[in-house]
Amino acid sequence: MSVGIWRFFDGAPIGAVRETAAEVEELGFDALWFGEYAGRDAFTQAALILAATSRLTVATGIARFDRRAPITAEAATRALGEAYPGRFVAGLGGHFPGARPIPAMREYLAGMDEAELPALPPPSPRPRRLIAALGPRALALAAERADGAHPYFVPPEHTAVARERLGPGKYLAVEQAVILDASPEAAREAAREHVDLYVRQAPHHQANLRRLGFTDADLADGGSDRLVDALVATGEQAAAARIQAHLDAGADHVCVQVLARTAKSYRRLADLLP
Amino acid sequence: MTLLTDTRARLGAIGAWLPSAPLQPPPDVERAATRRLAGLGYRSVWSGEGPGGREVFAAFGDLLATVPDVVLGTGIANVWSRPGRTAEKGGATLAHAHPGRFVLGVGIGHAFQAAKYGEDYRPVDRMRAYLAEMDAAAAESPAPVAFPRVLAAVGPKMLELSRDHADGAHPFAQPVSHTPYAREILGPDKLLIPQQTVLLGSREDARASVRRSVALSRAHHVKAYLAGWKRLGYTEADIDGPSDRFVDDLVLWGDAGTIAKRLDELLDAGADHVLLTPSATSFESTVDILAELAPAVVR
Repeated sequence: MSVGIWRFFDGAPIGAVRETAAEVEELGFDALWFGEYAGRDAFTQAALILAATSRLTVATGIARFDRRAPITAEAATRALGEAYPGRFVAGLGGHFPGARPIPAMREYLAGMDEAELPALPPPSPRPRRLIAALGPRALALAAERADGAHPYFVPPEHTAVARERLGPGKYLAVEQAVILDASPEAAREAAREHVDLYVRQAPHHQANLRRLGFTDADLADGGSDRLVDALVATGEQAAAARIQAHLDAGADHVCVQVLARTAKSYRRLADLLP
Repeated sequence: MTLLTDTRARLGAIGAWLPSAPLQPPPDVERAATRRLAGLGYRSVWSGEGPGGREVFAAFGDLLATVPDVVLGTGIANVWSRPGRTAEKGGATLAHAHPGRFVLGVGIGHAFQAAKYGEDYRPVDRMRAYLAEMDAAAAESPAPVAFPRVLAAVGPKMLELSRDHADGAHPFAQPVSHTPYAREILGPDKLLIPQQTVLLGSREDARASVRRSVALSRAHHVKAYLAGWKRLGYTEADIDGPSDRFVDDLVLWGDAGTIAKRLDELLDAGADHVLLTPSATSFESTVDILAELAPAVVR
């Protein structure tokens, strides 16, 4: 069972980032994933987390395509793979303003493959390259031009589809949001807030959920109960069961985003795992 | 303290500038070298990013964390590698994680580098737009810890940009006569951090080194260097000779004491902090020469 922690560090003080990384490692999680949104540069933050830990796998989930040239993403991936052998995973994703997403993504990945880096040969082992892929064409591209996929905001039904599209040899690292406290009112509110953010603002997530059979009614007003329950596991037992469900559906690794987090959340989560 | 006085105090007079691609060694060797140079009294260690080597923010994230107590500077982060907002975020991330220990050198690179990315090469316009992009990102979410940014500047327009939209200049591969020229344009309240080639040896050794640099600049059509040398009064004959005057101004050569004396002159002429690059053929010998020089040059 390979389980990691997924979170945003934007706004967190650097000291807190280092402490969290050390705690995640100490608790025995396999990886720490973080997103790149408005805050720190993803590869720079990965370097500082790698330096602050000694065994933990550190993964960008994801480094945005629009933040750097493909050759730069490849040069950063190799630099971290070289400095921290076997400990860095390059998750890549995001949008290409003004371009058709799949061809643009294909071009970006080709740019990484063709990067002329004569002074920086690929390190051994070569860091995994994963794509934030949801739909069938993005998953096919992840299978073709990457080592696998890092789907975010998906139920286990999607994981089964993703495994089928990727084939057996590719790496599938799935993000899952959980709330450990089952206090129904507060949990429902935190879960709905999380779901609302994506169903309201992210057309690619809306499209993905429709492909999975959710309707306009499910997507309206911050998400139906059915949708919220499908995307956020609430309560300790539900969280453990949902992680297992992704693994059973074909995930190699599940990275858990704990909502309504407290200082004890990661320890509680660790205690839930076998 | 202002960023300027704070940076000057941290940098002191002398630092080291290490070659990156193609001489860049494995990470553990680079970490050990950086640690050694810091121990020898070099107050900063710089290295750069050409297309073909490590991505500089990721690499510096590692180096800053693994080598304490020395300032690290990028010489340079290449404009063609990432948008301005990403450079701003990278610099802010490093400065926040390692307050006072990071200087961002930004460079427009060369025409052949721009061509690799399929873009036009209009250095001053492109740099101005790039700095505006950085500033816009910083205005959206300000860096929690301020960090200085200096531009790889040779000619007057890039030096003016260094004065008006940055914290100073980091000229590369310039003769000593460039320092008073640059200080004149920058004025007193900006950082001037030139990279300077040094050579333990004779004028004839230095002449051979200059001949190689000139050939490289011609091969890559690095017009900024060639035009810059002429702007400072060196003729084609000086450059192609290369003449004694050009050799003496481009490379500080001699024994350690002679080199130290010429560094004093450079500091008196307006440099805040001089970065030494030995003329050497391997990374290991580069570091060994810096070690040999250290007792005479660091202060």
